[in-house]
Amino acid sequence: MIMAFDIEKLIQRFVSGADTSIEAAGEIEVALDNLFLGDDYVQQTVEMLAMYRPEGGRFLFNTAAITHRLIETLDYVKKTNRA
Amino acid sequence: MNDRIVEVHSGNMTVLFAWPGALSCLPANLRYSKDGASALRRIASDPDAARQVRRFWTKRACAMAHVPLSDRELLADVELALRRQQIMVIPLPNVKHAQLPSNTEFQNRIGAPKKLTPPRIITGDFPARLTGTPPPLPVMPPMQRPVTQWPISDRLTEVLDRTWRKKLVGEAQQVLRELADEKNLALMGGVTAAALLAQGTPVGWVIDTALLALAWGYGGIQAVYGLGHIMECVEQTANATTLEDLDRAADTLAKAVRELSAVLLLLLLHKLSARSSAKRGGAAKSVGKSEPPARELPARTTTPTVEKGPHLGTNITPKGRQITQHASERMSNPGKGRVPMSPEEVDQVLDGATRVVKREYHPEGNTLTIENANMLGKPRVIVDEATGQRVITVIKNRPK
Repeated sequence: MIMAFDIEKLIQRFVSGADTSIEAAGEIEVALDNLFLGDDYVQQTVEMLAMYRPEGGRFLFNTAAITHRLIETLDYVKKTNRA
Repeated sequence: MNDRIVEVHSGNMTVLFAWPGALSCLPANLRYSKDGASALRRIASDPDAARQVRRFWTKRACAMAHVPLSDRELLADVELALRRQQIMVIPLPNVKHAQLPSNTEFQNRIGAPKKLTPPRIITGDFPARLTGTPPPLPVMPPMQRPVTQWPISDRLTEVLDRTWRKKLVGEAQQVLRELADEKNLALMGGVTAAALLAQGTPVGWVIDTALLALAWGYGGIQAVYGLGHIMECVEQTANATTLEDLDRAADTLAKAVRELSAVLLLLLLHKLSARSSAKRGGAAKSVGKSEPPARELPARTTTPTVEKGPHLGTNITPKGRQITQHASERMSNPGKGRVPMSPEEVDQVLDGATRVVKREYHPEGNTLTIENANMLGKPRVIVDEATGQRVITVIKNRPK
């Protein structure tokens, strides 16, 4: 539960714009990956985070795209009662 | 200048205001730079400049709704739109609107590039073929290898050749012929080599506001579009995997040639090339000379080590797969909870895959997530589905 709470905090920090660095995205990526190893939806988010650069780029996701995905992921995680 | 872009002057500062899409050729960091907000604050204390902004703003918004607003309130509205990326505000330093020098004056002033030597051109008689009337088509040397294995100099030659032979006529064709001598090819080679090092990421980082100001001052919006098309061509050339891709790059270059005069094209290339060299620091000294093009780096290293620092020092795996800049950074400097990955390991994951998942979430195309569960840390490599050879990113867990 502590880990799930941490994830929520990390995601909120990112989507609020307080910290949208690659490092912050990396922390969320590792936390989600560890906690939702067998969940394909969350694993897609993990992969998207691994393709994150704030400015975007070819086959990469920018801050807006990742913010959108993280909001959906947080919603998904809450709905599936795992956080 | 059209209605979608307005040039506002405040003191010695020039600020471009543009609606979305008007400057889409520019990299995002320029279009939505943080400097835009500080420029707005400066304009707030300059009534003349604020009046110009009001004229721009009311063309799009409901004019009546904004008449009663004070300058400060209006600029607050504009700032909000800027934050939401609904408009672009680009301050340009030292814009000098000027006539271009003649081609000869320019060549005399610029001279040969000092730090760059021409990239290796495998079609050694290329410059010679450009003198006199164009020979009948096709005269391209047979390229047996796939485009992905061509060094950047060959791709560039092919793009220039296709552009001036097939895409342009009359004066524009002449312009590119002037460009395609050895000296100018070296300039473009410098830019393209930089793009190669930045593969997988936008090459727009070599454009900054100073360069934009130069283009704007000499050629206005047309020159800015031309600048955008040069960068697009460079990116297409560096990322080309087929002859059709090179043909598309030639189309883009042809657009740039039509939009820019010969002198402005050379001037921008010269500046871009110098900038690329500076950004690459010491490595720039060897572009086209002692350092082989990135694609010609030795394909195999004896030990599977990962260099320390931000990049791997190569953008190709021993088995010829392309490593993008982003993947390279993650392989050499992974974040907390992840471990480095060598190019050899990337090949190992792709050759010994235990699980392949197709993903359709990216607007630019599908990707494949390839995992090798037999390896320590169960590494995953994400490649584009179209080629299967371009490594977009990697994920390798710390072994538990």
